[in-house]
Amino acid sequence: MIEPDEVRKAAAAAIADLSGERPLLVADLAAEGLVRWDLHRDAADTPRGRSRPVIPWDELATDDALLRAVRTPRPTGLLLVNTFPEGARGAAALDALRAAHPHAVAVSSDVRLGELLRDVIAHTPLTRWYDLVTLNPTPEGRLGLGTRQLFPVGARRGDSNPLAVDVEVADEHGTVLAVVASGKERRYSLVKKDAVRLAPGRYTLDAELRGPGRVRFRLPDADAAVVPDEREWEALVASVPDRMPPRVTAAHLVVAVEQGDGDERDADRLARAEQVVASAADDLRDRLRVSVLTYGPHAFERRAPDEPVAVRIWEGGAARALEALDAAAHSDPPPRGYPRAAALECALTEVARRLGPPGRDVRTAVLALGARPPFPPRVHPSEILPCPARNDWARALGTLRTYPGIAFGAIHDRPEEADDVWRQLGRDAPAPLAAVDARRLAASLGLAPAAAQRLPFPIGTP
Amino acid sequence: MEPERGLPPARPEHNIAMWGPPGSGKTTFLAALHIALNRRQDGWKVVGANGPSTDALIRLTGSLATQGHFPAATRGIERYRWYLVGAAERAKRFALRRRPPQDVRIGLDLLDPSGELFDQEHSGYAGVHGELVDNLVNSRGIVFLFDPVREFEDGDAFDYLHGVLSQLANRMLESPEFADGMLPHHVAVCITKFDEIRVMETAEKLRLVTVDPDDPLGFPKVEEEDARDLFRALCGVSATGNAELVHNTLIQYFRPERVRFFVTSAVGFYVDPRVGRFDRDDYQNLLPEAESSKAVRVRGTIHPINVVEPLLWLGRSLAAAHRAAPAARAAGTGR
Ligand SMILES: Nc1nc2c(ncn2[C@@H]2O[C@H](COP(=O)(O)OP(=O)(O)OP(=O)(O)O)[C@@H](O)[C@H]2O)c(=O)[nH]1
Ligand SMILES: [Mg+2]
Repeated sequence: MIEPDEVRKAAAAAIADLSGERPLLVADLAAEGLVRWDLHRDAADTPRGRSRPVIPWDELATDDALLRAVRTPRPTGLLLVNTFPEGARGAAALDALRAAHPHAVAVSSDVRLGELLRDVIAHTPLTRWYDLVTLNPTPEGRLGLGTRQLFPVGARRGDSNPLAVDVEVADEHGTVLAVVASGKERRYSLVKKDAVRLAPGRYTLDAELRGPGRVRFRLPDADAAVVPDEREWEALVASVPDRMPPRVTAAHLVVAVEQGDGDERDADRLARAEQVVASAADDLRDRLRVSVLTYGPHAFERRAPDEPVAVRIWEGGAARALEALDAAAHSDPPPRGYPRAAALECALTEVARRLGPPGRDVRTAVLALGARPPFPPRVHPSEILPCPARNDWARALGTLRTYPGIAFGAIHDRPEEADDVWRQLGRDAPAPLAAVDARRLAASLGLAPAAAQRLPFPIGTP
Repeated sequence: MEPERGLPPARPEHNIAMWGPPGSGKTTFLAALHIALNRRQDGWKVVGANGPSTDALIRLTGSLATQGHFPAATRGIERYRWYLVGAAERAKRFALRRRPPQDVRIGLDLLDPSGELFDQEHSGYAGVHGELVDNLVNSRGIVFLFDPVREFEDGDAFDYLHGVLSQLANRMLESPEFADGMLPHHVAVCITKFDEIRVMETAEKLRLVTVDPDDPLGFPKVEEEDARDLFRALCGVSATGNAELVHNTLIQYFRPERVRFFVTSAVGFYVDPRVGRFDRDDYQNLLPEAESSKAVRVRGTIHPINVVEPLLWLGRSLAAAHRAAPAARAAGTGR
């Protein structure tokens, strides 16, 4: 009777000997019969094993049958373990097999062999370098695949290596954390890959070695789940753009929502605005600033106060902007006022007035949701009364257009009926109210890079 | 036969009929009269000649001026007996000179029919339509309202002129009194809704707009001698092109010296109370009520344009014609 430790040592030695050319067969002589384990190293040199269905003792009555059960097509290491030492059949079989394979290591111990093998493999030191796949931009801005070292040969379970990575916007599955193994010849093979959805930015990536083939990633400064990635490797590599996309480091989304068409229509528009804000926030997180304006028609009634534009939040965080939109949906409906126009010209003028000097790499997007035409600055063939403040939508839009990197979007009730200002507003991102793909709209506004600009892997910071 | 001595004669010399298609602004025109006189501050005022007419005057004026509501479409024929009364001081001054203040009170027996009644479709002499023709026969003054906005859209002014005018001519021109083939009426052709963009802009394009330097509001206006040109130009842009016929038909039936043109607006241009003057950039005085209906309201205060002038002209012309008439008749008999 041998102690479990001895079995462990024997297994570790056998697995250390395991190589691509020389697999290992472990015969488990158990209470109900023989269980055969085939172990090998895969392309990444990770030890892998699988068991075959148990062969009951009745079918192993003859020596011939017993030997056939452990036969292999090529030279193989052999480890014989009698895991039911009390049983007579196991001991007899062990003797018979040892006689037939004199070089095989044979041990007897009451252990659960599957668990033991898994444990031994997990504690096997790495036989290859483990690297993280990154994208390395050249000084000219071209992109190529590269690597950052995670673990050297000989690294063991429990070793960890925190490293800083830069992440750009990826697609809806997230950024891929791929581990590749390489030997002396620097030929890489994929060990495993995970995906995590992150806003663009720099993160600390904590890589912990859990054993060969097993690397656990954690991001202490992001609240994001790392999940196995199921995508085809070739497709992932093919999705890498040739060049670095222009950086979107931060964005300011201004939404102007028309109100005054009755509860339902008003609520629809606010809900659409919420979707776009939420979607942009998904990609940009705390690097998204949001401003929310609601506006209605001017009041021309004698003595009626005329305050068509309400700035509900200016350059606030996405969460507070969503609250503001929600509050707008639950506030009293604005007075109906003038039926044929809404003070879009005042809303645009207010936005132009409030936008500060543009920040570097900051994307500014103006999204309007509504349908009515603005009030003209002076008597107009449409017969819509002039804006009492004489604000001019064309002038405001002209001012906004000079703003570096600005994008315009419009969600119109009926885009086919949209008039001039709405068509100009819909320049980059037009959409009908009834069918808005918030994610795509945000992407067209430059709040999330379009597919061609997405980077599936972290950036390798040299 | 002694027509002069029987029943008190119908007094056609005071009767003024409003003529114009539905919605051309006949009733609003009358409703604006009181305000128009008030704003002139030259002593003229309008008073009702009897209870119902006074009530109507108060009602029409009140809802237009204080609530900004336009009158409802007229049903059938409304009749108002009003007087235009001149200022007392003036009357006194005249009295001190030679004559008692005769011409400071002008009777207006106004007929305000529904525009529907002028529709060609109402053929033949029947019901209210027949009554309308009767009334026109018995009047000597006509306020003919030409609504350019309606003309841009429907272009049916001619339809509303032609049928009734033919019947009127048919009835009157048989009488030897009108042997020269001309109808006896004085006609004030009023181009309405000058306050609307399309009307204003047409006048501006034709360079017919002037501003009276003495006008504290600085309102644009079209001088009387240019009003006819504007009328013809507006007829030219009518939706059907038939409006050209309106002008020709009018001068064919009425004596040219008895037809005058006025560019009018019952509500006038909008005046921002903070500015107190006409603003070329913002002068529309109508406010839509709700998206679904076409209903409108008056936006600001009312500054009627050329509402008094046509009625004064008609009132004076009719009075003058009446004074001249007995002599003419006498001359006729004596021949
Ligand atoms: N812009 C403008 N619109 C006017 C003016 N006067 C009348 N209107 C418009 O014309 C509409 C019809 O006016 P009414 O005075 O009822 O016309 P009407 O000729 O009496 O119509 P019927 O009684 O139906 O024959 C009003 O409701 C207003 O919308 C005006 O001075 N300016
Ligand atoms: Mg009427």
